[in-house]
Amino acid sequence: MELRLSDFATDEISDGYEAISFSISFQRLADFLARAELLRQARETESESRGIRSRRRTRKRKPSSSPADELRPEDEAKYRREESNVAERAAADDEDYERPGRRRRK
Amino acid sequence: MPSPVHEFFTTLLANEIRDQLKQIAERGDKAGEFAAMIEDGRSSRIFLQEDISDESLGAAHARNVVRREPDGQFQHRNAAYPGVVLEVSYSQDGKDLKKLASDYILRSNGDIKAVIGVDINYGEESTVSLWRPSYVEEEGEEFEILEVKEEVSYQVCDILRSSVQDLRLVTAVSIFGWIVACRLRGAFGVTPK
Repeated sequence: MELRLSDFATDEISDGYEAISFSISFQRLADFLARAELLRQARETESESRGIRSRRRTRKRKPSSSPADELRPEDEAKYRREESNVAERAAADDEDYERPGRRRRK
Repeated sequence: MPSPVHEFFTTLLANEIRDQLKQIAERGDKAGEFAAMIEDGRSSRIFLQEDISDESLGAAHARNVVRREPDGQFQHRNAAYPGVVLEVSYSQDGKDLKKLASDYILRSNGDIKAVIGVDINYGEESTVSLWRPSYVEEEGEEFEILEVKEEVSYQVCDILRSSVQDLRLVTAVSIFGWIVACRLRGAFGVTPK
């Protein structure tokens, strides 16, 4: 399948570029189709063609429900206090301090 | 809802076109500058608003603006329409590729110069078509007549019916290997219509 450079715009601006072209072979298209099908199988089948998944065992926690637009004024004040406490402690003890949200269970 | 096969295939094909344009752009000459100004418009909407003065449709239909969202498209920065459009139909999703190609070409007054249509069929042959505008001069006609011409229509080896092993083979080996794989299954792939 051959595309000419002049195919990519109206005659007025593409005039003179008819001789420059490139082609995409049908074999290449068939290869794209095969790759697309492999990707489908990797995610949608249970057979050996299924893609690799994480084996990590986890317990899931949903995100806490405090998006910015739902914050009440008293919450904002509370979070501001907490933030400044965190900043102070982090400054005081840079190396040992671990932010509460980042702690991982050992 | 787009299927993974539809989306991955479309992306692979669009990327191939983009890569080829990039190679031309790297030449640094006038053609390179032209190629560098062509952008990948993906599925963005196109308003086709050129007059289609076909008597059979009547005046009421002639100036309707038609909105289309193709599967892929490439547009030069200084042009009003994309020059190349991709339409991919997967598993009889009801897309009439020929009708779509005709809309793109006639309703852009021939500014859409190549419509690549790929009809992927599960369990049957898949077809690749390329439609282009064609201009005909007829005696007694004041203007040239714009028509739609199907330039290529090829059937691609029925890859989707292949076993998993065949598919792995296809991606693992060369083009020659792909042809052999198709031959072995008694369905030689690339057959001009």
